[in-house]
Amino acid sequence: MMRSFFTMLAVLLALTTALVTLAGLLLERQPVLLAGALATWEPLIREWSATLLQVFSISVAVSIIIGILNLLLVHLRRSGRRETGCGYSFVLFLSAATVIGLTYLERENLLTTGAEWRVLLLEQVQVTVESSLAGLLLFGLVYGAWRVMALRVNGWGSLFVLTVLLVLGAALPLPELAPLVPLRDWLLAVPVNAGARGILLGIALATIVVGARVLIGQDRSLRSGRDE
Amino acid sequence: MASVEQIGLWTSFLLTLMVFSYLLGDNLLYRLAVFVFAGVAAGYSAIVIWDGILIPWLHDTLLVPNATLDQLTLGAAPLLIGLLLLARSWSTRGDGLSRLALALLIGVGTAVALDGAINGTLIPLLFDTGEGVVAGNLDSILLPAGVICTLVYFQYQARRVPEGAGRRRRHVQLLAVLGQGVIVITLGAIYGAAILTSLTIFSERLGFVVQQAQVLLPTPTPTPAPGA
Amino acid sequence: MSDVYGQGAGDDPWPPGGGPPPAWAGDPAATSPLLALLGQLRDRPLNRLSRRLRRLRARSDQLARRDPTAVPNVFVPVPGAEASSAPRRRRRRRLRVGGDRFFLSLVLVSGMLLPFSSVQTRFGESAPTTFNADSPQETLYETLDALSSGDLVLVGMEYGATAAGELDTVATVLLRHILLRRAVPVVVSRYPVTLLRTEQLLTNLGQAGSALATRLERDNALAANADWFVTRFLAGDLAGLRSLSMNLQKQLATDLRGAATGLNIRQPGDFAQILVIAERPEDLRQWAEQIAPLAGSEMLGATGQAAAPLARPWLRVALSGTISGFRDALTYDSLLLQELEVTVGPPSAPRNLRALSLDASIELNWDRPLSNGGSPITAYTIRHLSTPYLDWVEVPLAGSDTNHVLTGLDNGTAYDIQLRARNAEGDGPWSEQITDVPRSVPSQAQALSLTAGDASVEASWSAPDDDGGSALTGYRLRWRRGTDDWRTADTADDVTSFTATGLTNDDVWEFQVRAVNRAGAGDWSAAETATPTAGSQALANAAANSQQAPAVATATPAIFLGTVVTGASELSLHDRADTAGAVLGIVNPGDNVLVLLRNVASTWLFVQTNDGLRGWLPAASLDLGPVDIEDVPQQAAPQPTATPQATPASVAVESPGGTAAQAPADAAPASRPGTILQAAERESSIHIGVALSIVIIALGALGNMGSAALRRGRRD
Repeated sequence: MMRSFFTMLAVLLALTTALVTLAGLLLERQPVLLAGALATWEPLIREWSATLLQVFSISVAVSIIIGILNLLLVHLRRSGRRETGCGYSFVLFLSAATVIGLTYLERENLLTTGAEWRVLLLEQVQVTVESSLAGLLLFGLVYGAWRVMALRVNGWGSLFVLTVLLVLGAALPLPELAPLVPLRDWLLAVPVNAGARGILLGIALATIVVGARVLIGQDRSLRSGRDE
Repeated sequence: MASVEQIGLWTSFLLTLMVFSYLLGDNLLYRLAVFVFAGVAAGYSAIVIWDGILIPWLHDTLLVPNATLDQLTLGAAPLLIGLLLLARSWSTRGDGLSRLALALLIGVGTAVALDGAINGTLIPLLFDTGEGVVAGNLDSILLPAGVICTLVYFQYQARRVPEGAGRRRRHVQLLAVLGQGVIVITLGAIYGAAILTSLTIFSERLGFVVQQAQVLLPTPTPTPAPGA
Repeated sequence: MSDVYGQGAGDDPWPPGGGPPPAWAGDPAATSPLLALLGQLRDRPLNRLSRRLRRLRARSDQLARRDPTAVPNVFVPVPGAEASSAPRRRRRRRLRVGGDRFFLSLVLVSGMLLPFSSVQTRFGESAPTTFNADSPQETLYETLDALSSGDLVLVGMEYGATAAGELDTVATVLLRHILLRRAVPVVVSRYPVTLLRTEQLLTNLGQAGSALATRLERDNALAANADWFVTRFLAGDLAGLRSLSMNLQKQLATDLRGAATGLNIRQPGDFAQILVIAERPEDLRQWAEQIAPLAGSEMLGATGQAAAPLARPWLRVALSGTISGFRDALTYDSLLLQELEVTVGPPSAPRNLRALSLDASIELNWDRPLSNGGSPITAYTIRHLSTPYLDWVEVPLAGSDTNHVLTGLDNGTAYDIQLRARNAEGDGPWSEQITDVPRSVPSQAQALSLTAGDASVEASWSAPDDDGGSALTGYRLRWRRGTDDWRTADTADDVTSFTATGLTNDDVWEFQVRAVNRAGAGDWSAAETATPTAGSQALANAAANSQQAPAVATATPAIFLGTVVTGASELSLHDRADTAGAVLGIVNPGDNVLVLLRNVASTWLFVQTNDGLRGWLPAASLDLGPVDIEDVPQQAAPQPTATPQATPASVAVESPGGTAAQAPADAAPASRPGTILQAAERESSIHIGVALSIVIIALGALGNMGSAALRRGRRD
């Protein structure tokens, strides 16, 4: 009973906030949407909409901070126990604590080289690892393409590989491969452009479907497991 | 004594090699680097969000001297929503409250997504795709044709039922096959482009590693290649 | 976040060869705002990159094992690779080196290492130094180039450190261009760490002494919240972006660290331009959906190569110009270098040299050179040439002041004056030449004498001893009775008498006169008095006196006089010692000219005509009389018309981090002119990587097709 009540309340809340926000957004795009007596509501609706967006944004920030705190606590707890991966957890906690600690020390003028260490951790640790991880994708991608037709050879697979080879070949600035460039350019301008537009339109249509489901209270995320 | 900058460069060098060790398989060094990175990223994210968002927000709302009830309510709302989102994990009773917080966020998010999908994607892209037809050349006809075929292909996929019912008419089937071709070409182009991006990122890391390695193992002065 | 664009970048697209529909089509929850909420920590590849790596590895392992139950396509999700509920043993990480994968990796790494090795290997052509006409790249460049000083540019730095290897280069050239135009970037991002990195990047770009600060003639560093802004993190993904446009003023009120920015921007349309540098196509899409329509104009976009295909549909819809990838960034950098002279060399010539004649001195004012050559101006040198001396006199000036008073000059002598700037790299070219004559006011008019008439007084005087170095322009006479107000009359420079009429007879009238030249009026002469009486004859003479017109001759001392002797027709005066030079004027046979200079070969003479025109004449066309042509002073380095000199000897090679080094600009192609570190090596490395990838993928495809044919043959 209580669960149904909360579900109904949640649906109602989602519907109300969605409608108010949507009205504000539409008015921002087209300020003359309302006329006559309704026009007096316009600034109010826009203000509500803007406030809801702001609350959304700050709420997300709060949830990220809580999430990070939770992450650190979990790893701190794990590092205290002798279980698999406790060393990694300790390293993670230590890294985060170092960053926060350095920032604090720098701010309190307790460490004259605080800024240098902060830059070091940012550029030489974070960017290095992330960039290297992204670089590793190269091998996965090339290996994936190498084996793309390993178990089944069909027309679509061949077309896919040919397109990959064409894009790569045209990107190679050698005079011998210059004839590929106009073909690649055409491919990008017409079929790839069409496919990309199709994907974008598909996403937009799917978003509208999802939005409509939320507005009519059919979205699964608003229900608890026992409601279904 | 080594400067902070030198320490940074060597740290970066080691971390790059640790991540690249993944090429030999998942291993301790790789995971260590990733966990260091995760900790640093969590620390920096927390600092940026705390400094840039939460502190100014609190100063503008809850910490305003003689704050009005409106300001206090507004200031507390994101904190409350953030906590409610976590309520589900604390107790089953919190599930309902959590859903209310979620409903508010889903409502706002849905409105933004709907407005963007309709006014930002669907209408402008459809108009632009249709405008091309007026030009009358082959490419400007192929582009919208490709978009239509792609959407037909998606539509077919979306309506597929487990029994395999709903056999398509032959011309719709043909359009869907053409659409599939367009999508395959698009994905091939994206895959090729992703390889190019990975190559660029990997080359940057490679250049750095070589540069640092040359400090360890001095090599003869580079000589230009013949004909360079 | 479940990628709405699962097909993007390195993500795994759903199978082209059939299989389940795309995630967003089959699972509407894929676009749920909740998922957007949970996808906030974009800078963490633990959730994304590691997952992708594990997927790729798992799939290739599966293919390698040739598991008959596996779906025959690498793009199909592999059970166990991503499902958290999969049996633990399947997810257990092992150090297992796949032979073929390791071999392929080794080949790729070895090949790509070559350009960085001791023997520099160059493969493939370098990026072009300019964009194609009317291309999106050119549009982007020209749009940013048209920015004006103080224009605000909203810059969305929508990429994480995963794309730093590619997009840092792009961001660096774009931000540098904006700052070079003295426009102000206002940076926003939904990637928290990117904000910190952008702050660092901008600090390095604009630090004191950097190429950028020097180019902007800034002695100090470019400052945060003044020359550029890095504003607070945009939380909330898509809704956060829309919140930016709805609450723009609040959103931009504080910077990354919570300090007030002082920005007062109410709507996206207040920005001169909007630029998005995006790693993922969905970031670009979201900007196109949420910001571009509200800005009222198209945006500019920059992406990596991977996002470029999905960015294309937005051209003309939401984007007016785009660049993508490292190669475009190199071209952009070259353009920036060409047009904005980010070079280290001597400065260009100072501009708008202006002179003000003073007594025995000339006050000079000028504008700074357009380019300081990439190094601060440390000194100027003025030189002047007066016809009596025929030798340039150089006056070195320390410091960077843009004015100076030349003293100790001779009044009435024409001085040719030029100026050049100096920086650490040396002297720049001489400026355009101007000529000026120092002068003072004339001395007192002489011998004022009065002849009284009937109700009139005739005053006459003689010219002053010293005309002040400038021809007299006239005289001013004044007279009065007692302490009445003065009455005045002006005469021409060649009239030295005047009859004042309408005076009352029998009163005492006091007269004074003074001479006037272009520098001003001289002192009044000593007062003389006269008393007009009835019946005087002075009036009768007045008219006759006023007709006197003594010519004032201001002869310029002639050093070498030449006579045009050649031909029967007129002769052209050229702006340089060459018949191809522009014609400045005409001289006729028999004209006398002043010979000022000769060229090194003594075949041309620089002359001044009676009309004051100066230019070059062939030496053979002039008769110099007894003077030997070798006695005429030889032309100094600068031509009468200043010509630009070739400048740079080197270029600043500056890493995104801002470390500057020197490299000869005209060295081997290896040292490509530009500001991007290891550009040539990286280009070649990428090219080799592309070539090897092509070979690997093609061999793989052919091998698989061959194997398939063999299997089919066996089955049959």
